[in-house]
Amino acid sequence: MLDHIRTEAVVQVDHLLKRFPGTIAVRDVSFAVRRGSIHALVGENGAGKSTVIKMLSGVYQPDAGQITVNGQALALTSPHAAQAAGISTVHQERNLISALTALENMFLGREVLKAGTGWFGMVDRRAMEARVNALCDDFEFDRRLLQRPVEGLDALSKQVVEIIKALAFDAELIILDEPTGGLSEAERKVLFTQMRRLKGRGTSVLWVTHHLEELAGMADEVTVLRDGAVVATVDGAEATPQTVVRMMVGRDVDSIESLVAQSKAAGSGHADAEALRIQGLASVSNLHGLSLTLKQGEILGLGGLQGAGCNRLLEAIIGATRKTAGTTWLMGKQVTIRRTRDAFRAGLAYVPNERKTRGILPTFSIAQNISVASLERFAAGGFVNRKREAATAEGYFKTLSIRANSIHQQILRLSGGNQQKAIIARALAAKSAVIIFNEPTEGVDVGAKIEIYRLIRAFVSEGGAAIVKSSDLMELLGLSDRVLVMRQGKIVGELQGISATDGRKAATLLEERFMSLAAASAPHPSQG
Amino acid sequence: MIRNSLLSSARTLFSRPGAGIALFLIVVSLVMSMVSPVFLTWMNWSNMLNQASLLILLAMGMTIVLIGGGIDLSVGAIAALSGGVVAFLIATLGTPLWLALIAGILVGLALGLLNGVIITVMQIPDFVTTLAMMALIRGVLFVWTQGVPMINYSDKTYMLLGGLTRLPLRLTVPEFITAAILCIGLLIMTYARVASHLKATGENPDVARLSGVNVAAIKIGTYAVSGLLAGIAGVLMAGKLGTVQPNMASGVEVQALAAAIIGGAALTGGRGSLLGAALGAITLVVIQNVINLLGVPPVFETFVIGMVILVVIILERLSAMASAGPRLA
Repeated sequence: MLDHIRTEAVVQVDHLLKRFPGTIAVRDVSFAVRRGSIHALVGENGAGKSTVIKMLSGVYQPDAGQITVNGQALALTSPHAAQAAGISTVHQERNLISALTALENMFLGREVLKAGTGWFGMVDRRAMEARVNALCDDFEFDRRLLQRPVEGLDALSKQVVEIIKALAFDAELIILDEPTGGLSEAERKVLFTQMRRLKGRGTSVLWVTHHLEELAGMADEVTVLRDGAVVATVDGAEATPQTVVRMMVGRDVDSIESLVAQSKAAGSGHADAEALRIQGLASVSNLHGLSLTLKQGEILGLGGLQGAGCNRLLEAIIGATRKTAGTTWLMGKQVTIRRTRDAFRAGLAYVPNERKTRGILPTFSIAQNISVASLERFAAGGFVNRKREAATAEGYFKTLSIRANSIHQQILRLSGGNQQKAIIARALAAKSAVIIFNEPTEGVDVGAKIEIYRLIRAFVSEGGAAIVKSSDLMELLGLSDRVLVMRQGKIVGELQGISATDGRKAATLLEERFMSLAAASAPHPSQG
Repeated sequence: MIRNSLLSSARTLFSRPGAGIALFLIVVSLVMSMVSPVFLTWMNWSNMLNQASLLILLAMGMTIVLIGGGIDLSVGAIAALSGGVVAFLIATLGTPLWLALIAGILVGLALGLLNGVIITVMQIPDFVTTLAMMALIRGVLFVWTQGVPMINYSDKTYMLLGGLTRLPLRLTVPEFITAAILCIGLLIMTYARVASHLKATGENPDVARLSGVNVAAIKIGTYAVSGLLAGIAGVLMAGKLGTVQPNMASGVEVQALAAAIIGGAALTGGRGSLLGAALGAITLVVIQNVINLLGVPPVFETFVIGMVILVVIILERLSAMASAGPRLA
């Protein structure tokens, strides 16, 4: 049985392991992609999908385990080595040069040259076109578009350009990472037809997707990942969304219990006063009619699949994207938030995601990073009182137990968890009534995670209120009192968070309900 | 309906780099021909073209560097040093003109290569590296000449090469040199593989690298070309001026940059047009000319050039915004 699979496997991975500082992204992943099949790879955020793909496309090297291509064990030491081995990856963020034509993109770095043009290196467009003409026809790509800059092409055409690019160089396995992102429903259908065509040509597809309802009828096999390991590889026919969701969730009970116990231990002295109310919010980022309320002492979770609109909603609330309608009340008072500055002034602080680029001021000291959102309070006549700034920073330094030599150290030198604590201190120092946390534990090790949960809990138990957006489902359900689920720019449901007394079963049930709300079949085109 | 199709064809026409500036030149010419009888004469234009030819060389080099995602602030200094080397070799050592010219141009090429190597190997930002080189090279020139202009190197041939002597039809040698280099450049940018590699390197070096483009070689190449063209411009300028002052060609890097940007090059890399740069350089010269002819005090020249650059950039931004639709903040 196993030998049978091996012989027809194009790519097989065995016991892959990949560590990153502080975490193990992939602990034990084995599966085989058969020739001419569509093999889906699914799992929650953080289950290890993207790490597996990066190992297959030569971006990361596994710490242990083996990748076998056509029966040969290979070390894919670079993206080039992976391409040479016949593995092409169409990344989520498209890898096309917008100023070049479709044809130039397909052949970038591998141009066909006219013989005898020597140092000049004249490209032979005819020969290159001849090489992809049949592929263009196969994939219904208008040949006239070959000579147009790709910046003018729509999302689907760009994807087809990447597929043709891969096929023109004899890829045997094409990895499609969330290929339907940013596509309309009609475009998705076309893409699925293309995937079937690939299969018909004998090319294998490794298909990473969040959209479980797409699996039926498309995937020949589905490998489900959870916590960096394979749960099972099942036949595509058996992969209904319900069964797959059940495999994706179902955590080990210890981690849930300890998390919930830790995060909810501080207790929630629920005051009933309303901290934040948003009604009828619409924004230029294509959100319409969203409403939510947040009480004092409450942590409101916000979750959904990628592109569901959680980030857009948060950014509209704090004024980073322009609102076109909607009213905001903060602590019972109506406020107008047009810019992020208005939000901070009104008492609504934001802890952004992507800490490295959007959170820290890397060359500033810890103290300066903490004070920057509330400099008015440290300044007299335009000059910052460094002593007062230091005193305040020192206070947070101790209460948040930021591990560093001193508050004057550059924040860049700190670990991710300590950087994040400093950013949280920035929001706390602004003396805000409500703090919005976007992915508060992104890239933070486990120990720091728990501390951050405690910080958020402590903040709300002292009369604050918080919105937490997280793509880590366990964190979202474990930390929040209530959770709003978003899908396609709408709030589609509300769940209670896991309570400290809930057992494993109740927790798993909640996770299933969340996933079925967030990933229900999509009649409308989703917007990235 | 008709209006729409007109609008869209106008839009495609204007999306071509250099199209807007060509239109600007035509409009200015028409208006000026009514205001001043001198403007639209071959006498006037032949002077302007002669004046523009050296700037076009520098603007082309700058455009290549900008497409590759860099910036070269040292071209003025390189041009001056190249000219200085020629003057020194002829006046002091009696070197034959052709050998001195080659030496001067090679100095430019070498300095360009040095720029590229520092930037790619040491990973020092383009701006910082070329800013330092600008000061450094200019400093060498000052120390070397002790501030005294170099003279007594020019002869008839060199004056001809520098564009001081007119050929029939009031044409000059630098115009032919520039036209030839422009043609070679256009051929390369249209047909050669290196053009794709250059644009890819400038727009997204990571993607370029992953596609197998030798990003470092491309980057060094752009500075080598810029240095080479600055060297050629410098030795021609020395012939034209008949004297090399230590601050010769100071400030031309800004003009070259302005010409490249007016011609459609983006400081963010990946974009730029040699033809656009040439038109941009001509535009700058035309603006000077217009100011002279209108009797506007020449002190306004810099101001007007600044205005034109700003207007071009704002128009480009507006058209990008119009075609991209509403953008997120």
